[in-house]
Amino acid sequence: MTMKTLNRRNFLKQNLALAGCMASGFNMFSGAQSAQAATLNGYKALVCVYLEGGNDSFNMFVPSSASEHADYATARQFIAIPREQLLPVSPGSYSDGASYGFHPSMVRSRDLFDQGVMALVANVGTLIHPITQEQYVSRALEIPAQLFSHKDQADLWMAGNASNGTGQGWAGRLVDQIYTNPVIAPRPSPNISIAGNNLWQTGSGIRAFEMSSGGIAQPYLPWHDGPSRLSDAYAALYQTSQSSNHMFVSEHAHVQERGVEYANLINNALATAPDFDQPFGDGGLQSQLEMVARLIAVRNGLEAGVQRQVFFVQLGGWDTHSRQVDPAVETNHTTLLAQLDHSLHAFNAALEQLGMQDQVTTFTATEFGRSLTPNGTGTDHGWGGHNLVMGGAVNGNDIYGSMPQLSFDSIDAIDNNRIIPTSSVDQYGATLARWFGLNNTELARVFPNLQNFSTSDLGFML
Amino acid sequence: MNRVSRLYRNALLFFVLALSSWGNAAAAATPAITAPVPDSTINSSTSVFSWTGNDAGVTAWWLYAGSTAGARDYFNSGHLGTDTSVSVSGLPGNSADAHVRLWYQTGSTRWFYVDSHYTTGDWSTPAITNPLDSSSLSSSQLFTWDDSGTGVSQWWLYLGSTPGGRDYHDSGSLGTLTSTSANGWLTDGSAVYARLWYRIDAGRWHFSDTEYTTTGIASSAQCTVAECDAARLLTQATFGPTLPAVSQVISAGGPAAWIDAQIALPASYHLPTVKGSASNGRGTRYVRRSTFWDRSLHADDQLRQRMAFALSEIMVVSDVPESLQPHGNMLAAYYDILVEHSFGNYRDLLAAVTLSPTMGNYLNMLANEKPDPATGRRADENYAREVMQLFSIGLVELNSDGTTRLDSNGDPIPTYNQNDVENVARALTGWSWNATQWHNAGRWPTVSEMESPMISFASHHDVDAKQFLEVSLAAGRSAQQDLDSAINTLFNHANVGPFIGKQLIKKLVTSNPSPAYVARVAAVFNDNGQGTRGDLAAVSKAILMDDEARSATTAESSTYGKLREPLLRLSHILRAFNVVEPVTLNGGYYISQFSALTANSVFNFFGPDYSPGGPIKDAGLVAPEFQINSESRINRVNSSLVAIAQIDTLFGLFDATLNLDDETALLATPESLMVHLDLKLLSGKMSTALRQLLLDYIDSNQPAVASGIVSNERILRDVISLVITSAEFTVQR
Repeated sequence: MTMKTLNRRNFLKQNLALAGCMASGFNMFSGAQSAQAATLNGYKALVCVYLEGGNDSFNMFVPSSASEHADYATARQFIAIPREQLLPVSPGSYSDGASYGFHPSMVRSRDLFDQGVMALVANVGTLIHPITQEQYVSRALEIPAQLFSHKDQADLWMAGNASNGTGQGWAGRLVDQIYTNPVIAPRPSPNISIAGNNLWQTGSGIRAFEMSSGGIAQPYLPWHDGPSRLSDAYAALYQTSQSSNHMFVSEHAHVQERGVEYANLINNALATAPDFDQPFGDGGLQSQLEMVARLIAVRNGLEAGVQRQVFFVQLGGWDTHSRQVDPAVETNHTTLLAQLDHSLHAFNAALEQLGMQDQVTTFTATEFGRSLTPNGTGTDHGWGGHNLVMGGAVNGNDIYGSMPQLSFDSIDAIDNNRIIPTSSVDQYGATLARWFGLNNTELARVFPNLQNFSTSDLGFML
Repeated sequence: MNRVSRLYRNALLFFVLALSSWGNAAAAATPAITAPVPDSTINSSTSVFSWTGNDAGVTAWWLYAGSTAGARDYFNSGHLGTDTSVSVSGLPGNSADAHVRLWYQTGSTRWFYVDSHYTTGDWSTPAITNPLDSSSLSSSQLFTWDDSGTGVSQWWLYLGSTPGGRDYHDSGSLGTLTSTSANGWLTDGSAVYARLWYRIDAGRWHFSDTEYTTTGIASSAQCTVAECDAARLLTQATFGPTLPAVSQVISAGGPAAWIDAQIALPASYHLPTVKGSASNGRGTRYVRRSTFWDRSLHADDQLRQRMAFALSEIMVVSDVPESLQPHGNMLAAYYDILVEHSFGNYRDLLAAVTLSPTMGNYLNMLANEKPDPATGRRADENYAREVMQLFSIGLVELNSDGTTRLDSNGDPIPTYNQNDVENVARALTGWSWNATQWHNAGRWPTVSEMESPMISFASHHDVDAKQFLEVSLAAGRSAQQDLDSAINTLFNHANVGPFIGKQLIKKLVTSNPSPAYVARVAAVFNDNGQGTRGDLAAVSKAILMDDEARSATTAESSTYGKLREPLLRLSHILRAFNVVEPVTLNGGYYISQFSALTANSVFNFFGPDYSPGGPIKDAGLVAPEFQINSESRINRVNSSLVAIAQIDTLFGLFDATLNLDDETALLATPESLMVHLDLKLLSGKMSTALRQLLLDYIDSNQPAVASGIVSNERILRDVISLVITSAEFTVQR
């Protein structure tokens, strides 16, 4: 029996027996701690809000000073947000001579920013090295493969390794550093996705656990009064199938078993979750974040004493090639930003109610920003873009990294007005990972190209 | 064991009696066979025999060859006149005895003979190879044979209740076909005798006999080789095997002939049903989805429908975006493009997809405006990028076997760069709804515009020169000319065969095809044998007839096959249990994995290179469908399937009633039920562990059934629930 097929129940059984023979009093049920490498202190969680399709963040957070806005408006033409509609902010320390404001549909985010609970990280993107327009044009430095392709850029973003977007994601490696023994990591997994399978949470040891915003239902296996029952036979069958010599049959049977085990675990725990005072409202992202808040509330019911969790939620529709600002379209960029705004605000309120605001950090991610210049009715795939970070541990009311020049044929643009990132995903992720408890050695394992950048800490975490 | 010798004991007796009136003892001067030398070994099934009269005054000759002395079961020369040699054909191989009787006549009436004995060599003779001699026949059976290199020119098969009889089946002349299917015998345990007749050129007829039992499908241990393979083929090539479909494959003459017949069937289109189902003359989303189910379950052109579905997961559009959601007719029109071109040419498919307003709407080629250098407005790149990345050539250069080509540094070589994307985007500007004037995407189109290919508008097309993928287009060309060049350039790119071929293999047969398999399919894509590139009928046949698709040995590998997505699991169940009424979707409407054209993005429900962490990824394998196979999804999908098996309409997502007549009849003989379910749900691959678990389940509940606590029907539905939620059913091998 290899570690890969060793299941948790058997592992605990074997080791309990072993522990019983020893006088150490070593308790395997607090296994989460015993299997940790990084030094942890209390509970922390990271929540990634992934904006699938490529958020046009240059319209989410916009220069509001006259000269910079004029440059911006010339480049963006009919999709430019009028200056008078912007919601101005007063960053605590960032200063580049310009002023900035949120998109008019993001009133709550502006408020959170003002309250110091939210920060903006400027112009983040996939990079192997910092690179200038000149270096890009002359190909003096290596650039990430398949720029502007959704799938590839999403993979590189999630990989935290712009040289190689296959196999593992940075949240997966992050959790691998903390829970070095996957068999006794917190259940159902320290990596929980409410939005399906994703590379970001895939590591070498830990498997992400996927569930929906509606929870996880037990398989429907109706009861009868005879001596052998469907549910027992279903379980006996997946156990038998796990020893099939066929790799896919065996794998599927293992997933079946976890499906039954985790549905029990999660449903029992969620039964004790509180109601939230501020309603999340309807909408895919709202429901996903509400489930994250509930899971955080009942985390000790999933695994007593759990100290680290990483959540993934997602909102699609950001690939605004066409009709980006058309009011006749139900889901345009304006309504997407409004949904993001509402969801983040409700989630923050729920965490406040739970008293968990300082221990949970929420951040946005998206595969790329968009071309500064529009096509007929929308924008095309770009490269760098702004992101938002929210939480009590965030050094809010400020801008981090550096703002690019947002003008037609900008010095920061390549390939027909696509903006070169000024901070890398690695720096963005490492700043979060350091807060999460990783030391420099571990950060280097998670982000192999981090050494190519001048700092591994963009400074937005307290 | 071959029955030739056994059967001919009886025949010998008859001939000896018949010939006794001709006399037997030879006169003093005795003729003799000179060649081959008596008691030697004959090394060919056809051999010239010569003899001499030794001055016996012979007036006529006649020669028999048989398995015993005096028999003529191998050869009967007929009256030879005064010829002193004859070519003897039909001698059996396998080191058999060959008794040769040379008859001669010295007067006008009296016949004498002289016997010689030979041993034959170690060659094979024509014989039925499947089913094996002494095996058990199913109620309908494919018989196959081969000529063992003897050059047989004509075959004929008798099947009867007695040796040599043809009361069950008389095939008529089969020409050079080496298989035929038959049925009609009693399945009561009695024997079935087969006599395979054959002749070489216009020579004499010979035959070989085999004998079978008919313990019947009910108690045979497993499906026959032909049945298992037919069920496997149907799992790969249709929306699921049914017993009648298994018989169809067999009676068509096997997989190749069945595929040919499928390709020849007229297409069943979706739009005619969807069109006008909404009061405004458009089509509803609901009817579009239920029409997909109706065609997929019930259309005769199953292979075409299955190919269309596979293509719908490569050239993806989806009714998820709100611009397409309410317009079932647009989605159906798109699906019909895939149906129409499934067996057509890939170039025509690519062109039709490109000009579909549904795709145009989904990936923004519709109303793609030419760039405006004055303002910096650019051409929309969405379609230009995805048509290359996903629908034709892929991101990196491939070898002809689908593996990635590497440059001298060992790095992959991108197929295109951003400049190519921008230039292809510009080449594809200027197309919009088929209307009298240019309209942008936001306009509410007419029904006819929704269902017609886009047309070009010269004033919206970028007429500047373009350069992409080593092609230069001069300035001033029309939208149609530029589009043709772009499509031709992609179509003729060397990547298309391995890129599209490998994906189709993954959709139909196995997630991890060998490079050689991909290369064979790509070669057919490149040239169908008649010099045509892109023949998708030839490609689909090459995929399904490849040894890697058909070989039962390959299928035993622990990494062969694929996980089946939920839609294909469900369709298999509904077909296997003959759900005849239209499928009502109820809550299933909302489960995207149960409907075609409902993926969340152009990257489909799952990607072709996804690999789940753990043993599969560690082994370097991909398992695409595992991307939508998480714990919670398995629970939910299995819940839906069990609800269908249990006709729990409260929970049921589909209003579908399984026909369980056959299974109900077999429940009293659980072993027979296992064989039956094995064939129609598991292509004969039910593991002994699963079989035993199901038998135990039935057995242990018998006391409760006997005392009326649980119904037999409930036990049966539980057994079916267990099979259709098993990992064995979920994985196609």
